[in-house]
Amino acid sequence: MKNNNWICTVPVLAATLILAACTEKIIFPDSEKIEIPKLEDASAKYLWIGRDYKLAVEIAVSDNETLTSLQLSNGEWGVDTLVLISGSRYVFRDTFPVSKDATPMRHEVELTVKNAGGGILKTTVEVNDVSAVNQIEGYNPDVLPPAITISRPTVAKFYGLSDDVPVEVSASITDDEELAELYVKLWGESVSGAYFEWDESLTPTSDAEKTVYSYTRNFTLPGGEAGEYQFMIKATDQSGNQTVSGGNLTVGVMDRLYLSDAKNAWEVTNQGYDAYADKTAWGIGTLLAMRRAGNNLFTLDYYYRNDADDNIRFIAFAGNDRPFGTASRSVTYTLDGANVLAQKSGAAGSVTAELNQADFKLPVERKGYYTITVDLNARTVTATPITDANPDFANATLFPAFDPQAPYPYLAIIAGGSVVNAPGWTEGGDTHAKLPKETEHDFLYSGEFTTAGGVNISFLAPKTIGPPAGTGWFRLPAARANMKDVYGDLISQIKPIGPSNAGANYGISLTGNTQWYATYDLMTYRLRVVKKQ
Amino acid sequence: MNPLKYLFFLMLPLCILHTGCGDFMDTAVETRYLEEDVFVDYSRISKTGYGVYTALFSFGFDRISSAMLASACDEADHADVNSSVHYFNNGTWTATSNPDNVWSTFYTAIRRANMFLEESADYRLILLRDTLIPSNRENYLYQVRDIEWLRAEVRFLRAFYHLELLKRYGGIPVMKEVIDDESTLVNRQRDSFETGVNFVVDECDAVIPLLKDSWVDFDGNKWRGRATKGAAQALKTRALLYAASPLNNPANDPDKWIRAAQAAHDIIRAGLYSLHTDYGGLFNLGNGSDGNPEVLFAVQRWNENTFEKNNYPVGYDQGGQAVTCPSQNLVNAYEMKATGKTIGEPGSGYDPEKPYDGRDPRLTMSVIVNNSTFNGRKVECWVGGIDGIGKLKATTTGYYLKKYVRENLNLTQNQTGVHSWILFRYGEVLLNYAEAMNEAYGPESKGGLTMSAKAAIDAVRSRNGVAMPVLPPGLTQDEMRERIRNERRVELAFEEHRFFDVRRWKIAMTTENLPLMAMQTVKTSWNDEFEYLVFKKENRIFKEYMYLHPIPETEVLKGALVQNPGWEWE
Repeated sequence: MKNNNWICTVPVLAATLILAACTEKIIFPDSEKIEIPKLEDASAKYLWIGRDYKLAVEIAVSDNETLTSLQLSNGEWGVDTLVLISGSRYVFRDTFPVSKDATPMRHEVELTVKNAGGGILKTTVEVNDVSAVNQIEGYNPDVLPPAITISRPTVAKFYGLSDDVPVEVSASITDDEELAELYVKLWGESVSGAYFEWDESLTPTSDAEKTVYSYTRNFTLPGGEAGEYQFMIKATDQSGNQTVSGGNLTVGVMDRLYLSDAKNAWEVTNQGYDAYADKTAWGIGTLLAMRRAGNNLFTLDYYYRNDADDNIRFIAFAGNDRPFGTASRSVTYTLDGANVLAQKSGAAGSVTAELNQADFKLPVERKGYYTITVDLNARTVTATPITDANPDFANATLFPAFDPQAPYPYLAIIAGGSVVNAPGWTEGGDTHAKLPKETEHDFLYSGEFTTAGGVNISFLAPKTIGPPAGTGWFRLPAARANMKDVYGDLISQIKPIGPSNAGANYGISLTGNTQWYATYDLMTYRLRVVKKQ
Repeated sequence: MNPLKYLFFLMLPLCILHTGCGDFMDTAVETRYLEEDVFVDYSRISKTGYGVYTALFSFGFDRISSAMLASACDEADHADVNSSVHYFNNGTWTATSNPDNVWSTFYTAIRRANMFLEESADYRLILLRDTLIPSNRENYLYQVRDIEWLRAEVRFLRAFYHLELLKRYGGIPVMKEVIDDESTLVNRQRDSFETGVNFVVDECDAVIPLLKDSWVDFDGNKWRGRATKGAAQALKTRALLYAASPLNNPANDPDKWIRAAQAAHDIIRAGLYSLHTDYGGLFNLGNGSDGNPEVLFAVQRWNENTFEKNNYPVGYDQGGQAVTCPSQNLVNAYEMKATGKTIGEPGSGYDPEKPYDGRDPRLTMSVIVNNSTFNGRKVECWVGGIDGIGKLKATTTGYYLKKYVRENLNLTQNQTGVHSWILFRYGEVLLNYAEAMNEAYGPESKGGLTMSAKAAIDAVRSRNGVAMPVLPPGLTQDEMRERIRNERRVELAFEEHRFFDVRRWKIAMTTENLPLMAMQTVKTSWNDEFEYLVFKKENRIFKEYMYLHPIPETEVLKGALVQNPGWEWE
């Protein structure tokens, strides 16, 4: 305890001594006053002078000390000037080229002035915008370039599968003063490297042409093979202002390719569709969307029957063209249109748009599953056998009690009503509507059924083989509105997605009092529905 | 089930392998796994691999002190003055206070990846031992196949994280293995930028054949979000583009541009991807993003509304908590739709009294402008309006963010939406290709490939719903370069590209030293008439040494890593 008292005593004593020492009043001297430069006058103007825009600045500064520097800056215009000065008064006058404001803008000039005594003046000077009127009286510059309005071609993608392609270029070229020259060029090359170029220069002659020039010219682009081309119109006015406009044109470059296995034209116009809400989802008829696998390259997994009446055609579409209308459930293609190709007769593996030379087969001689690849640049079709079974076959939830060696004998048609002999969402008696397995084809189920009005249908694994109740559903998933084909169009791909919780939900929607013929493929999930012929 | 959503939480205990905590805290129940407990069965191995994905949550949204990376460049301002993102803009970021300091994040993930790859190397043997029912061949094959994929994915992620470090720091130590020895680790020096990029590219080449094309419609869709071939191809493209860019290719070696073009062309030629038909909706696809033809890789997240609370205009209930404010600089970059000209060009058709009319549609799909309709009402950005400039937490630029913001949430009811951040998309691939092709071959040559630079950029501009005019033919290489750069600025706005683009192009000394401009809107009548006046929001500061991030001071002080020039004295 003694030691602790000693420790406390020492600082108290020290503090007392310090306080005693501070009793004398201490007066701190004033620090030296630093002179700040004075801004006598300042103005900044944003001016339009002739063709140019300028910032004009006038600054007058003074100081009792010697001024040493003046710095002037504006970030948006990139103005940054430092002037080293000497003297007690300085007047700065200068102009700086600046850009034209697209939108009215509040500008400031930042000013920093220093003197020899270390004094600094920092301030901003607001810029007065007087650029609305040109400083040169009567100056009326022609700064507007010509305007080009192209009215044709209205499409940029041409089929040209067999023939040359006529293209009309039509444009209106105008200028507020006077057109001096037009230059038109069309150029490009085919996939085989054949180069095409055409150009011309034109000089407007009449007074009317010098302000409004109507240009129309017909060209012929090479067809029969794919090619990419461009055109441009370059217009120059008397003041040298220039505008270039144009576009890209393609021939035989397709955005979508479909495989059609319609037996005839009747099956095209009478193929099934899914009537989903106010939209129309085709994709369950005779046309199969092929996946785009590259530029003009398309593939599809497909079961080829290798029957005598096979009628395999490839239907191509470019731009916004589609095989079906969405509003009126219309079909927009035919089996012999200018956008149709098929295998060339006597030349297996090559496709042609000359349909009178086609055999409408695939380049194989056995039935089976194939990956079909069509190269529209090379004009070839290949068929590679698919050896793997559908991996979903092993999924007992999706394919209950399914044995690929002994597939289901049939699929029961189940519906929310209005299908003859399919009264509900479970399989009924012996007469229940069904799709029997085809004798010659292990995973194809085909049969007829009749609708008596609008109806949703699904398929069900047969109850006779003993799947748990309510399993083995082949139906549309819940996110039906989001089901799109490889081109983003609404489709109704019908897949096994397991038991339905509530019994009835979703399915393919068919309408009308109609007799249908349907085939369902357990390997590819393709549903092919046509009206019975 | 999306693996990313829950694996983060599952992986935490798995990956904290330290043995800390003294005897004092020991309990009878051990809840942590030691390293030797992890690589013993399929479940634990796979979860360790999925854990490498968790660093992906370091991308996107308001990750920098509630701000987007967009607010650290000329795309935007951040309304919260206390956010550290402002260090970038006022030039005060340092080696000890870098708001985008990702060094530790990505090296932790890389170490995690290396550990997984090393410890799971004998996965076939481990899985065989793990097979309790020897006859269960299908199960074994499934697990083997899954770990094979996962190992490829982890290699992809490791390469991806390396590139993220390379983008920021330049040359970095390339870490291909776990280093436990501390003295070896602290003596590890930086590899060159080129070595780093070569590693990324080689890894991509190695794993592309091993990765799946898609996880959509596979195994009940429960693995959606995992990396694919397309993701690795896109990573390779981006890495080669960065390597060819002026910052890293000062001699402008054309072969580097050619390699970048060819890598992008591999994706284009394969035809598996295409542009989404709804640009505005592309960024709100939720966990369906990987099923979209444009998305090559995305971070899938969960139901949340923090981003909306931060970015809804301040007049909306619970909105305006940390607003990203698009800049006038960015808004000016959107061209006129009818003419394809910039707003300042004569004859563009731009009307300064109606500055948002007739613009590139991507403007109003990305930015909320004054008097546009959002979530049921018109947004009042005008002075005195309920969302107007000058209010506390309101926009500082006269604009609000729209891209990535889910519009129809009722925040007072705490409604949420699933968010996903797109890491690679086909639009970027086309723009990468256009840039590389223009530098390698000029604007309109195909260089033996199937598409020219012009065709690629035209494709982006011609997207359904955007339909901007194709570029005029006959542009010079310099003119095309400017058009491509502007197209990237517009198309990829707010997607964490611009911040790096201006650096790799070496134009940041210009763009990032320009003041950030804003729009003051004054309502002049009750009939929705306004006056518009652009003004300077703030000056911005960028110094030459800021082209590269500073290596964290704590790493430099260990002795072996040489700091990037200009940052040493910090």
